[in-house]
Amino acid sequence: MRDNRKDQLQGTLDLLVLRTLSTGGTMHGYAITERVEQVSRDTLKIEAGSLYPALHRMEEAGWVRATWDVSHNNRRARFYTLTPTGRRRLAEETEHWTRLAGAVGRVLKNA
Amino acid sequence: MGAVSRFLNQWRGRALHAEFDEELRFHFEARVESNERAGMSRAEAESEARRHLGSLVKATEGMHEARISGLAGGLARDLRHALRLVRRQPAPMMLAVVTLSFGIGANAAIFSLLDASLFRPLPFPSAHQLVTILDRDRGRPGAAGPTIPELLDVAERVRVFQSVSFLDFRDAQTFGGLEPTRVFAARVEPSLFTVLGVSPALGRLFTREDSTGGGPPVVVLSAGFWRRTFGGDPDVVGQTLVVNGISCAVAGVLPRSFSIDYLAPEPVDLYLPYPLIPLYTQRSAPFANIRRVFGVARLRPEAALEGASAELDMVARALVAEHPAIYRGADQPAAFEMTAQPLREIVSGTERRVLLLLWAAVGLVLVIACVNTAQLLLAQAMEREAEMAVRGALGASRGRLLRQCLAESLLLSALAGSAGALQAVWLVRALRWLLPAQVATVGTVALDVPVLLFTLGVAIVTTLACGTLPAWQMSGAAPGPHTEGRSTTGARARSRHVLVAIEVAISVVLLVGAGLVVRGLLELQRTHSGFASDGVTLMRLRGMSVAGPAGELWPTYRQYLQRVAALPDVEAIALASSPVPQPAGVEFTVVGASEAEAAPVRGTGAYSMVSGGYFSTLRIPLLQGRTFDDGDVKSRPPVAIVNAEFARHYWPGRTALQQQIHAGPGPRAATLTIVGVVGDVRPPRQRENSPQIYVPISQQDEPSVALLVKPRAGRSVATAAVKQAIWSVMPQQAVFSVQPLDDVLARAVERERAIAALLACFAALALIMSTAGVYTVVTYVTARRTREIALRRAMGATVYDVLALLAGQTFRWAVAGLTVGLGLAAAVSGALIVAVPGLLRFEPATAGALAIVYLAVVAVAMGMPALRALRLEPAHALRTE
Repeated sequence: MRDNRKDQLQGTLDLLVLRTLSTGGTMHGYAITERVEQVSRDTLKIEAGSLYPALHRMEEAGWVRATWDVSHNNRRARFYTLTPTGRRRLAEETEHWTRLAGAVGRVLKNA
Repeated sequence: MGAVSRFLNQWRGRALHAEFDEELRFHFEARVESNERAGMSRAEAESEARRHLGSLVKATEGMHEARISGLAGGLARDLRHALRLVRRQPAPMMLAVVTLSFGIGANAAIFSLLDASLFRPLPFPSAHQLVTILDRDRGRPGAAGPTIPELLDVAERVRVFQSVSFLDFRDAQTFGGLEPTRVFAARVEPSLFTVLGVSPALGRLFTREDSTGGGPPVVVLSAGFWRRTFGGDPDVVGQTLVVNGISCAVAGVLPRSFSIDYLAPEPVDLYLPYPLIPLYTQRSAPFANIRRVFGVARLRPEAALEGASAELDMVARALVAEHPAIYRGADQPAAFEMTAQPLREIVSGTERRVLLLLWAAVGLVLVIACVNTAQLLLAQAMEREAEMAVRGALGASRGRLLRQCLAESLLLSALAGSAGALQAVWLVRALRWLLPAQVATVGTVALDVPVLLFTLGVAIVTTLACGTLPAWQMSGAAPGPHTEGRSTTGARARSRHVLVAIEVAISVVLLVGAGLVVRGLLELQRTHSGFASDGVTLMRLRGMSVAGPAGELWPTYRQYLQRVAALPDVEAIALASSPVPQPAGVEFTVVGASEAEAAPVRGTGAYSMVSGGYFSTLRIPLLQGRTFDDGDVKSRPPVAIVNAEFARHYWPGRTALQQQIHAGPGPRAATLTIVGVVGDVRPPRQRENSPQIYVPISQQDEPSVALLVKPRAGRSVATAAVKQAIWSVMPQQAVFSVQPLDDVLARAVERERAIAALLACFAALALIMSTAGVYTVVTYVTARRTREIALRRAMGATVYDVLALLAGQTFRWAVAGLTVGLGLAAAVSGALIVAVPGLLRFEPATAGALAIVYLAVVAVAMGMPALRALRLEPAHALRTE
């Protein structure tokens, strides 16, 4: 049970990151957290302790590609880009999430 | 890809961590910057950023886990843990290491032998194209080398051969220095070195002129002979060496790597050009059709062996048609065939089965070592069930525990493997010393890369094999009974006992196999009879004529015999073509007998050329007639002496004297009149009496002879005195291979002796290991049940009850293994007989006796720990747990 919940949360985090990268193009980790917070109006906060392991895991899985580059303030940062595999994954995750959210919504309303 | 890169990332862990840190630092600084932009002070901005970032440790660990696979890191941890365990309780682990290393070492040593003799290609360029050509007679088993005229025809007619050459081997004597030296020479057709693809280290090799008498006599030296005799002199080319009385110029020296010793009966010192003169090359010349040589041919690059055999077959049929007198017996259909065989197979073919047999035996030893180690680990695993159960309860997965157990196995394999490799170094040396030259001289037996790889592979496979079962059982330990710290008799007794049965069965197979081989050897050594070899010294010489190269030999021989006989302390002396009659014989027919009679008219028998003193020298009794004397010379009718078996078989109820037989190899064949009958002689390896024919050496010209010198009782004859006596006749006569006749006879069973010794060693190892295995099991069972035993004793159980309880089951399984082992041994001995000719059939008596001895040893091994437990004071034992 516990594992199941952990998986769901992780899946959600992956979804958020993939989605953010799909619209924002190439971004570093900090920009991703900023963007998620901003778009969700500070409802969703991503901890560095969760974000970076997730990014590195997705990199190993081939969903994102990482490169070191120079940021706007002239500092070296690690930038992430979505790969075609990652894009397919995003579509799957989105579909899954929508179905799940719809189902949960229906249960909350009607059950 | 992920798994691989994660695995490889282990070795760049430091660099990756630097990247993680930099990435997190950027995140931190970006947050600080944005906070400052929002109006915070530097200190406020930094503390907010730290809170925002959360646990850096968590982030770093998460990234580490995402990027670096835990396997090797975990393995290192597991290995460290395993090492700690070994340090805490070194005895069982050390026992396992020793047991396994014996198995691994023996296997590596035997494998190095196999590798050198069977697997490695011959050291010639494109060695796979090299074949040898053989004559086969369909009526007879085995094959022989072809004759020179046949090979010359083959070279001319068979198109798939690029080139054909041949050689043979013979003694030679070189002169110069203190005394004539006997060397071993190969006479080679001049293109041999070209066919093999060898170039000289110094000077040149042979040309056609060297063989056709077109140039001065030359000799080519082996690298070894060049070093020994010329001290490796680089200016040796052109120097003179007297070979067989002829001054030869040294034409060249062969490279060190070149050797054809595995084709030869002994290492070759020098090479002489084969004289290609009509005496050797024409079918009409005497001996030309029976002088066998070793044929070597090189196939054309695109040609296959089958093609060569097909063409040879055609040539053989043509030869039969062209020379019916040679290839067709008077009344038999032609049965002559020629075949080609890869040179590699000729080299190793004879020993292949022996080596594979040894390999199988040593493999069995390894299996026992494995089973034994599994026993030890299993016993250890039971000890540690509590530890494993606790770790399992604390959340370690079964895979994790399995990995721990396998890490321990890996440590074991590393230790046992290196110990085994060390042992192999010594074992290889022992093998080289033990085995007769022909078994091991193909290439050099050494621990090289393939052998070490093999050893490594064996070490890993074996330890995994013997580590897996205990690991599986141990990792599955459920919390509960184990964690209470009390021992119960597990339901795992069965797997332990099956292991015992396997171990016992294999040991019995090895023990019985070795026992049969040893018995066969003893029997072989005992067989020779009918003569007395004690005190007789054998000296070989290659006869030279006082009348020059083409003269007769007997006048020289007679003078040798006279001079040596005149020495003090010489009781008897003889010359013989072979010291004792050779089993392989010649064909003969009884003259004047008709097929209608009851007695057979033809057969095969041993054929020896001897001087008259032969029978008294070896104390072979003269039963009828006379021995040879000075009257038996070439100008007189040829005579012969036969043994009692011959006379009994071919002239039953009549006297053999004055009967006639037609016998002799090739042109020596003649009608011989029997002048005497002597006792039967059984040479080594021969179990039954067979016909033997002796002809006077004084009526033959036999250059290769043995001088048999028998001293007076209690005296000895100095070799130097004998040599002086011979040199007083012929100063250039080399006298070599001086040794007691007993040694020569013993060497006839040298190969069997080596095999028997090795098998006996393996069987002894198996015996020790399996006994130790049984001992371990009972010791372990006993240790676990100390308290129970004490209770039972306190309640009145007898010693017998307790013994039955502790060892009864193990014993029953051991007996089951023994029975299976005996059955297997009976089956396997069939293979043994094929592999090592001369061995006996499976003998229930020998096998049974060995089984009983083995069972007794096992019983003692089981009884010891059980009895020790019985000696414990019950009250004391009850308090121990």
